[in-house]
Amino acid sequence: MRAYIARRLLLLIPVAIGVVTLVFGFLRMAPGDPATIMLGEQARQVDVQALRKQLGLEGSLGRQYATFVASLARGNFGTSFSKRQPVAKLVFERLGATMELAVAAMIIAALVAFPLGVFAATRPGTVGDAGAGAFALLGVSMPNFWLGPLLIIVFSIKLGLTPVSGAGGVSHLILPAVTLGASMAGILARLTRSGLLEVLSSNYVRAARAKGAPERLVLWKHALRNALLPVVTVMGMQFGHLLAGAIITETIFAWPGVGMLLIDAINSRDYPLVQGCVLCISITYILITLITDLSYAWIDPRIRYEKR
Amino acid sequence: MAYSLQPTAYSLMNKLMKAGAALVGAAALCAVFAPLLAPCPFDALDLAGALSGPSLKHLLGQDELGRDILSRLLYGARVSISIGLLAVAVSATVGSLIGALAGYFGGALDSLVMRIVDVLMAFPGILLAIALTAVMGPSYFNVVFALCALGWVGYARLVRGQVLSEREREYVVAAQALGLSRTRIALKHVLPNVLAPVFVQATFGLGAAILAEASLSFLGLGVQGYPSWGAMLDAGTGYLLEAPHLSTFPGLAILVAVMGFNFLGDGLRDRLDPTRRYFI
Repeated sequence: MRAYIARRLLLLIPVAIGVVTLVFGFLRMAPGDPATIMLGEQARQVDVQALRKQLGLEGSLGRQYATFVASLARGNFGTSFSKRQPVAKLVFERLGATMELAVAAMIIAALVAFPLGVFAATRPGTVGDAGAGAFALLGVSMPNFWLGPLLIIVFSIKLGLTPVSGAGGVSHLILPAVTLGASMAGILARLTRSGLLEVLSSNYVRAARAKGAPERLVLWKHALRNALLPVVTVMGMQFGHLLAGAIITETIFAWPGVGMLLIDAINSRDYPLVQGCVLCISITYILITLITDLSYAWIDPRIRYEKR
Repeated sequence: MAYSLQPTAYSLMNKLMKAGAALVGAAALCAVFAPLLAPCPFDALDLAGALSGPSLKHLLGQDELGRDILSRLLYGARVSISIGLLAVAVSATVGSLIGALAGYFGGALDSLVMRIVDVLMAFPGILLAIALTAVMGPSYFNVVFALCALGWVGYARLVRGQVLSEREREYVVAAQALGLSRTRIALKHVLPNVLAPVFVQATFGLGAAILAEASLSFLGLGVQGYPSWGAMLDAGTGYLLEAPHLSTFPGLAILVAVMGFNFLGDGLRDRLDPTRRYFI
């Protein structure tokens, strides 16, 4: 297990370098001079030069990259152009809200997906199975930027059950979490069903039935445990996608997370803040993928031995 | 209690696949024949009729500037579907070529490609697309580029895996014995034999690309100056109460198109691999 963790951590180095390089490249891909774009065509040359220096756009590309990496290593993500505060402070202040939303979305997705998947897998080929399948596919295909407004109309405006937007208690969290978790629920339900179908036709389940175990026990105690193992892995992987998906959900519900900060930064052409948000979401995404991989290797010994 | 699929399930799967193909076909026809099908020019203003609901003259109603929603949806199909097709075609082609070469040649090339793939896979796709279009500016080709920047990675990984097992087959050994160049064997002989799963992935990819394009448009980072489903939905959310049809029809269009591709992808995958037959 230690060797696996060491190898997995080593793999992190090229990935981290790649992500930092990509984020460095963003600003340099802007058509024209980013400092002029941010300040506008009418800006004084002195101000443009000062901003270029602040953005680290002076000197050769190699030197710019070295300065960029050195700043990041010191925890300096630059200063927000629009908010005049350190980017790191702004981003980390918002990260908690995004994580809260993503975790809530994950819980809601799991609560919907597991029963739906079990329901479908225990009656394959029936109308109930088809209905569950259609519902799952609806979740996967539904644009969350449409589902969000629909939920606001029904639950906030018509029924008055939840607040329209903003953050606060659980009532503020429900609609954004459902919006963000819908697609994940569809994916997990499909996986639960296919995993369970496979396990239910395996020999050990047949053996459990042959010795006279009740069907309920076979399903919930023998089959479901093994069927859910790959589903849990996918949940971990998909959690990273939830962080990215939160960008749109946060915008719809004015949820004060990193995603909304990113969209604000884009709209005000605050490139250092854009870089900071992208870097923060990516690093969180990578760390979560790492934790998922490690926990899966811990749960399932075959992984750590196979990859030797 | 038997847990195998009943014959009715296969027929249902077949029907869902056909329904998916029909939806996709209908969306494609709308896109191609938009100028013939659209009752009005997509940018014809009629401020007096702004926010009017569906009527005989305007079957799906009018938007905040009085423009015909049906016409804009038909023209919007052009943006969504053409961007989806272009992004998937470029991603699948580039990814397949890179994956085939990496898988067949192995060694340093394979290691390099796989490290690049690892790095890019560590990035959430929509985040990179948002960041790229935000910095490069919203335009048709920037959106396509942003979707392809990560899009090729999945195809490269898929094709590499397939080629790794395919390169041990006898016809490859025969081609090597005949003295054909390695690049020629990889691209002309091995690659065509591993393309079937690529087509399945491309079908799902089309639905995902349409959704991603609509997301970018919703955030104001999509194609400008031409109707797009995401931008129409974004505009419509400002009138949720007084004119819900503004966001309902673009939302339905996106949902139906994406569902169509997902149904089709499910069906194609099941036909390709009978052991995975399920329709959920």
